[in-house]
Amino acid sequence: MNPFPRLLVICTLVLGAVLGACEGAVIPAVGQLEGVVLQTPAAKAVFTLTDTGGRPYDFSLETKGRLTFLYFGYTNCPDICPVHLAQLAEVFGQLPEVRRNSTVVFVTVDPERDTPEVIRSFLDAFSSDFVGLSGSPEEIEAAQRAAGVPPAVKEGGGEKYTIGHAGQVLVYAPDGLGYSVYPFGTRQSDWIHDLPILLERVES
Amino acid sequence: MRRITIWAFVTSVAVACTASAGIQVSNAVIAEPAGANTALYFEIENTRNEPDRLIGARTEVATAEVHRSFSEGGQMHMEHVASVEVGGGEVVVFEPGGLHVMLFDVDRLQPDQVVVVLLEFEIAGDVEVEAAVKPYAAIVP
Ligand SMILES: [Cu+2]
Repeated sequence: MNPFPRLLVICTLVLGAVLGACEGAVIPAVGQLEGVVLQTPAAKAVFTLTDTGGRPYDFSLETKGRLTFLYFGYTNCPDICPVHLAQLAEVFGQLPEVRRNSTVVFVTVDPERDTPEVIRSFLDAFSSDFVGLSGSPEEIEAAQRAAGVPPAVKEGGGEKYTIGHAGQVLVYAPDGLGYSVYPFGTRQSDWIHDLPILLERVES
Repeated sequence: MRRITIWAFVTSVAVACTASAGIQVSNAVIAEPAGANTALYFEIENTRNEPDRLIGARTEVATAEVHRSFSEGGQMHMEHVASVEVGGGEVVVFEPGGLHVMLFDVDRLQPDQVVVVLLEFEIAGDVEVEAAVKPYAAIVP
């Protein structure tokens, strides 16, 4: 057996015990997050794209009150995008309360190759609940600007072109604010630590 | 717990090791593909005194190329690299977010399936590696 899942189970148990001991005490502050904490909380990005079912998806409206994950990537990416999505799916399996209250939104930065079918089958490898969005190149660029990430750029030529793109997952708490971002290299234990804290951030 | 982990590690290295003319490749894993492409990761140890270079890779399940992911200007990028030098006595690690063998248009692969890959070295020649297919979440904890 791979040692990692076993380690994770233990981490989860330990974390559970720690959180249990804190019950009734102060909710941990965002300053204690493992993610990269933003100096000023970011307002949720406002944009509308098209989901894999062909319906318009108003991002801020559809994810209102949810713990929301926003990631810009492409399905031909072998090494960065799938790692983030796989980690989230794995962590959700261990945090059912978080999963119930979360929405994961993947926006393709490669609308040329990523048809709705391709996006759907890619996301289904991780979770059929993950939302996949696409649009025109202009709409996708506007969505990235709205989210405060540098727009993706096509690199190299031919069929095997790659795309330079933001490597971090943006997270918005249920209160609609982004307190921290999660660059490549984030570990499952970091997610397990931070998500219950962010879930507590509800509109007062 | 620690003893179990170390034992599991030692066992997996012993099973997955390939040696050829001073080049030893261990911990070879292929991420279970979610899209058209995926990646192969491993560690190369050069047990000789002189440097050698990884110059390519071949497998029946995909078109293979040596690649590097890197962070620059607030973005993640990926590029093809012509060769990777492994100095005498040195270890080079291929891992997510860094060096990898990119597998294009990969066949459908099942977890725990074993895939044979030939790593092409300038001096050591072809080194045959058996890579186990693992989910991404098991490769990046
Ligand atoms: Cu690559």
